Amino acid sequence: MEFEEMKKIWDSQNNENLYVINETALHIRIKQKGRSINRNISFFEWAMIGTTLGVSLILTIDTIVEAGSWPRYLSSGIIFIIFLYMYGLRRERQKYEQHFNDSLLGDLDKAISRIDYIIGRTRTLLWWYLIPFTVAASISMYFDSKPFWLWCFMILIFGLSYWGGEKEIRHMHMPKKRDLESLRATLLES
Amino acid sequence: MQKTMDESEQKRIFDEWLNQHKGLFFKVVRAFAFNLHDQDDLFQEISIQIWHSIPNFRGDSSVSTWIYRVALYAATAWSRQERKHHDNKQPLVGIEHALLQSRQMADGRLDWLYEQIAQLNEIDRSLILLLLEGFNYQEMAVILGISESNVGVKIHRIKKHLAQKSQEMIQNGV
Repeated sequence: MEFEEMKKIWDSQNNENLYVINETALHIRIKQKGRSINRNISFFEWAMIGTTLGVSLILTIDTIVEAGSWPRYLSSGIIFIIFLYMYGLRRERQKYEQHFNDSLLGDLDKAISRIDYIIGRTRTLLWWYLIPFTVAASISMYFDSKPFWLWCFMILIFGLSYWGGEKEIRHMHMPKKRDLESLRATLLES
Repeated sequence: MQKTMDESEQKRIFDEWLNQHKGLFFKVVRAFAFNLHDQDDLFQEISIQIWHSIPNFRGDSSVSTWIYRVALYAATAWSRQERKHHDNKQPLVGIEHALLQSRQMADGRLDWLYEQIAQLNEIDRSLILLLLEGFNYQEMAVILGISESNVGVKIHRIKKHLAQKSQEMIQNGV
């Protein structure tokens, strides 16, 4: 069979109504899933931005009300800098994502870049989030004479967050990235 | 960054695109999903991606070209994901389907063609769909983001493969 004949066969289906669309059910699904996509994309970023801003504000207000000492101001300042850094990272990511062109390759590159961003952010979490946060919290706790077990508990929580992030990279993001890269390679190979 | 758009305006455009290009949706769905449950699932996935793409549509390309690009990416990603989770997937009970089959195809040769397309990898599948839809090499290169010469090489290989399969079908008297 020549390709032209296949094309004719293909075109014959233009007059066939093979499916019926249930538009009400479709719109319900779009709304439900659309909300969850938006939630998933930014959840981690907003959670961290919100947490740091909240903690920083609470610490500042608390210090002002109680006429606290300079170390507590320093703690809230460090946490506020983390908040600004994370907010900046998010803005930078959004700006960067505009550079991908409207093509299948562009979509693949964008998806790979998002995964790289998540992996990079999680891997460096220790340096730009956990360590500064721990230092800030430790300063505050030391000067407030908080019990030692509370400090240990905080370190444990941060340690678990880091371990969880690494696990997520290995089991979720890396396989997905490999998959997208193999698809990209298939697209580009001649 | 996604531009903001009034939801009712987005819905109006989506409904218009769906009505005018539903055949395109159906073809992609049939080429990438092989039972009604999966076809319904993929149709919803494509619809969601199209819905989200509407605020970004600037009119640089035709609507059908835009829909094809978004639909093919959604189908390719869905297909990879689906292959991984297929064994663990249970049919959804109590959820209303968005896509219902109205009737079977009349032409057996069309079934054969879809079967052959289904055996290609996701990228070749996308290319043959675009070719059968009448897109030229330049348009295909833009949709896929690869060079025209690369499109040409791939199309040549796919056509040769399909011709060989059709020869086998004729020889077997099917």
